[in-house]
Amino acid sequence: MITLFTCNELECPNVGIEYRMEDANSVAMCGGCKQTLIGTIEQEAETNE
Amino acid sequence: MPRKTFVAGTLATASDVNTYLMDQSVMTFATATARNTAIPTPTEGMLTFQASNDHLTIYNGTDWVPFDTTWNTYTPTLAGVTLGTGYTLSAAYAQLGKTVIVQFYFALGATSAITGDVSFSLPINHASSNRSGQAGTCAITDASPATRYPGSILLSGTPGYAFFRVGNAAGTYLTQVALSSSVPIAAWAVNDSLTATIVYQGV
Repeated sequence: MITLFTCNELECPNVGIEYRMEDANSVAMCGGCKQTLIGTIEQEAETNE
Repeated sequence: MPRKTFVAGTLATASDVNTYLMDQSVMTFATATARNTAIPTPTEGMLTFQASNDHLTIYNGTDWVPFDTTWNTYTPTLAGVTLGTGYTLSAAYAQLGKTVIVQFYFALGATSAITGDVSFSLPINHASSNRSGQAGTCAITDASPATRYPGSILLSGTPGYAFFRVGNAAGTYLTQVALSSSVPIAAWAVNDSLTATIVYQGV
């Protein structure tokens, strides 16, 4: 499972960077500004059989 | 059940003893903010639990010091790396008082690149730069042909960063060098990876 995190804090060195984290955790701390980030689970692409 | 303050003349019922004094010998709060509002002047040795992140915190007379009961995901600031697309990244830490444990993993994706001296930001700044000269171990793995290069991690800077170092066997004695676009893998490619585990004294 991949969870996406993006920090929107303008002063943060990580601002705008989309992190694709493989950790099964919907909450992360931004390593740039220490804010709490809420993740969104990346949806698997649907396949037609 | 909120925290109850007993004052002179307050009748302590059996229910008060059972709920406030017994069940809340470790006070539980949703967040650190809620804790700080409920306990504006904590007493040294107080123990609380934060439900939002499952952390125990102990007041040491100055600060609430966390004792994590779970690992925390964090998004490290990276240097010497182009994330690109299709990569796999995992970074997590646990803080036990002033001891911080961090694990890091990055596998290159289709458009990822190693561009220089690779480092990642620490979740908690380190307390001593001298004793943090070697804070853990790392391994760099070439996916094809499968080759594993051992190395170590040094901590530097404020805010703190963890730097990868790998062995260079060119001289009489093994030395350690920084990573680059060609070290230790001549041509980094998809699924090549870096992993590290470090333990250090946090501030």
